[in-house]
Amino acid sequence: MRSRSAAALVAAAVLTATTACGSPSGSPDSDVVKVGAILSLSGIYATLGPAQKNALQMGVEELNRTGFTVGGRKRTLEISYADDRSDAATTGVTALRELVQSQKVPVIAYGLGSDTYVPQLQRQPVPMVNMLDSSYPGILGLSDHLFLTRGASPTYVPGCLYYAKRKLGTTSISVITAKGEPYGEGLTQLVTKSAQAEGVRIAANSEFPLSSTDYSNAISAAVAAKPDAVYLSSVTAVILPVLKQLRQSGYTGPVIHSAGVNPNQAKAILGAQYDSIMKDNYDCAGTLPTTSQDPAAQAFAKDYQQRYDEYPQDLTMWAHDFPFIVAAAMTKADTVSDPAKIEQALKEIDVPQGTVSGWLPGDGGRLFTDRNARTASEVTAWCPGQDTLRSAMVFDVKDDAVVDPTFPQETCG
Amino acid sequence: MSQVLVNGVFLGCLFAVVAVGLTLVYGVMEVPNFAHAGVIVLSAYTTWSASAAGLPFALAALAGIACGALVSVLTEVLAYRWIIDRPAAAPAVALGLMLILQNVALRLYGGEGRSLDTPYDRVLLRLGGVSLSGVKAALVVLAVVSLLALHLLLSRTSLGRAMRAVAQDREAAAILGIPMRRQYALAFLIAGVLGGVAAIAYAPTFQVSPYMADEVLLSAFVVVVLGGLGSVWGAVAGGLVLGVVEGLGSAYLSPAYQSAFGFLLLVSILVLRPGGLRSTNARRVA
Amino acid sequence: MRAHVTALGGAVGLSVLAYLLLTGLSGDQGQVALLVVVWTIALIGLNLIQGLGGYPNLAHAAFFGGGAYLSAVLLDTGLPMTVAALLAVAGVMAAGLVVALVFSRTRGQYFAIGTMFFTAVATLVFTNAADLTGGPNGRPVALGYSLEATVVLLAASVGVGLALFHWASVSRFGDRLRAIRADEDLAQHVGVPTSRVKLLAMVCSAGAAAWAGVLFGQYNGVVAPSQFTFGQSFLMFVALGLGGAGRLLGPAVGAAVVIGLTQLLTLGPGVSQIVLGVLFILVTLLAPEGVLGGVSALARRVRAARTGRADRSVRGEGAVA
Repeated sequence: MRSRSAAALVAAAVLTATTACGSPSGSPDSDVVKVGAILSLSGIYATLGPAQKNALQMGVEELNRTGFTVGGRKRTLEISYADDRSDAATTGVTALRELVQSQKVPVIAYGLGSDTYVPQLQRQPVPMVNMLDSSYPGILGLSDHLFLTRGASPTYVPGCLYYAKRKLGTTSISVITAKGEPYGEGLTQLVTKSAQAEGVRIAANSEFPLSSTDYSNAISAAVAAKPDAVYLSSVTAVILPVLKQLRQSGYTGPVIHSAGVNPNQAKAILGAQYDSIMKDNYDCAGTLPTTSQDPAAQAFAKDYQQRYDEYPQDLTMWAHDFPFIVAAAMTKADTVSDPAKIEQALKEIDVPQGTVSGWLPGDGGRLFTDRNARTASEVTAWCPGQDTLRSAMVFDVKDDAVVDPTFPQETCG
Repeated sequence: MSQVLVNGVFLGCLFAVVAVGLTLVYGVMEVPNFAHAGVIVLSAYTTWSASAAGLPFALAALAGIACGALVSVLTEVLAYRWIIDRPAAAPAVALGLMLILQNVALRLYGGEGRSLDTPYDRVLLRLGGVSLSGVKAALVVLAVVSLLALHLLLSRTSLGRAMRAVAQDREAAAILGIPMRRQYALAFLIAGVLGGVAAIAYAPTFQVSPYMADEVLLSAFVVVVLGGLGSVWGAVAGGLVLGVVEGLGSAYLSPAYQSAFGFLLLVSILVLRPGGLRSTNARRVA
Repeated sequence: MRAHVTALGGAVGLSVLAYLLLTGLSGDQGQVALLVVVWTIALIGLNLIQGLGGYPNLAHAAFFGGGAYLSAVLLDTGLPMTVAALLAVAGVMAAGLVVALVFSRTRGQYFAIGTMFFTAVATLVFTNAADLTGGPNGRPVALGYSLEATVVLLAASVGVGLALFHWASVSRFGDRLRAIRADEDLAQHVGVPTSRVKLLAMVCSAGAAAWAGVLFGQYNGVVAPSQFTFGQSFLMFVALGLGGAGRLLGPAVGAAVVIGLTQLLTLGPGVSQIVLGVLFILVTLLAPEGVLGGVSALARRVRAARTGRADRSVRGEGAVA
């Protein structure tokens, strides 16, 4: 009996295997160039992925209107999307293998999970452009194949404390951290450092485990220390429920974060009371397209809002620019399929035409300095009753100190 | 300290309500009802949908509770009823049901958390140095009311007496002429109502998502074992004990290992009394 | 004798098949092949304590994860790969011994609940002891074995594991385990050293899971807590039952069905899980001995009908075959 079942099984399995084999791979020198993108379209980082995908699509369409030239032929770009389900170690790694081994893409855009992709990059290297992860300590030291198109946390966290001290009169701050969430944990380290530098006292430093749903211990510890302000240290999907419970506990002072909360997310996650909960909220991160002084960024913001009926976060600008960056690198490297040459070209290109983020060029006008491209940073404030944010301070950071701060005169009205 | 205790009582009421739903089913059918998490999730989403459609919260809550009762009874009629004589098969069926219910919610509503608004969102109660938000106080009130109602049902009505008889000795109850099929359905109905109450009480303190009940269910299972499989008052007492233990542990020892305290309690019970807290002799198990 | 030959033949055949699948498929399909092979190895271990012994063990994912994480941590200290792998397996087997001792007096539902909570705590440790485990997002694993070597080891482990299981199953050890499954108290009364047998089964099953975890870490390059939750333990438990608990090929069939369904059905978020849930219920109701048991029973009925004999009741045949 067993041998019969075994034989049947083996036969069925071999049949499946042979029909499953032979996945098609694109021809290496076609006019439609395929690149990959691994985004968090679901899971706890799901507030980030869909917006990135929207912006990537916008950027690709714009690029393909005129196309780009490699090896004397005009090319268009096509992006193969994958969802890492906010779990890079399991789903993201599989997607990476699928993109690199099966679909043979020469360059990949992604958001999170850098340290888990490193072993795969050791086995099969391909340049990966990170459009999102500003976690501290930075990702660029993990592998030479990683590039980062945004300023890392140390380029904006000091601005939070600078602004709080000078404009909100903050002398003491409580920090609530999501334990086990790397972005938040990095932010907390930086906030502590900057607070010390600015002479702001850390009133309390409490944390809650990432998977918990009841934050009362962390909140009561933070509030009991009677701080002038509270800093919530993690990404949007994690801090908004905490913010809700924080306000429910009776705290009415200013709340600061670096998550890039936008009005759509606030409404969905906070519910009907979202406007009063978001009052007195300040976010410090990269410059936003909606508050930028750059006309290209503003035009992009308007287009995005019109097309997707949603407030464009900062990460949309960086995603939009990815196709242009890739096209420029491929043109310079004169190849659409050799990952090593494209990687070298990325290090050499200037700020490409068609980008909207307002990249600050490095030495010799290059886009990437030590594989990092960055923009200026900004503090934004919630406008009550209007579902928008206003720019409160635009700045840059050098050697952990705020430089060139400007305070736009715009108000909410 | 008293703030931590109040918070522990809140957690305890939540565990108690969910655990009683589990233990009722256990007493009558000897089934570890993991699908209860799915019942809670679907009730919460129903309340959310009804609320979003414009119904006042009270009506939306009733809709949610009704949905919970319906789904729970369906799990009995369609699945659990058929394995009543094979308790070893129950975990597979329970897992299957939970996968189905949770992922139906995922398909219908997506994976992001949503907020459930209540009329008492902005209420803040203060007594001495202790504060309790309105939504948490509401959970305590709902828990107390529903458990009292259950107690009255079990002790004062013939339906309740029949249920207790079935829980004590299934074969004897059948011989006495108690209609078994109806008792099974009834146990699941009550469990579903309690699940719905848990949903509308718990969701406003956190959010509505397909995975909202996973952690709570795990803790509720600890409570069920603590209190003894099938004992309602064991579940209530166990729930309060576990809630306070977890609250104290997470406040003073380590918030990350909150559920580990429950586990330690459970392991001690299992090692010292392999049949649970309130068992008197080694029952036939599995 | 014939039973031994067919068993060994099946073991070798599956080994070769595993090798072909692992080297032939790439990308998403390759991931399915990897998970099926890794789960098969782990479930062979589970088949000892749960299949033959009848103990519903929900701690298996914790041992699986323990092997993966422990090998990653040991590799970081600079130990050579094979030493790290063996130490990791030994460490997890020691943990299995502790678990077996702690729950030595519990049975049935309580054993299931206790082991389930052990896994829940293990997941908590994996998630929160971030210095060692990298936290909720997991940690990379230093690649001690090359990809080719890992694939060969995976394929070979399938064959060796199945052969070892067959040997255990037909030995006195297997008989004792089946006696415990049938009636533990009676077995004890007739002189079976039940506690020792259970301990040994648990330790061996933990070892198999740990070895699977080590190889998984080497192939994937990264391990994360989400792969080793009590939900995964539950899936392993059900997968074995689905395939056919106690049967030689139960692990392979169960792993193929559960993994195949969850990974290959991409009709949208959650649909594969719904189908899986329906499948669990249907198989439990209609084929209580798992897919293999159902296939055997069906084949028996077909044979009986063809030879014109009356339908014999199949319940007494037992799942020992």
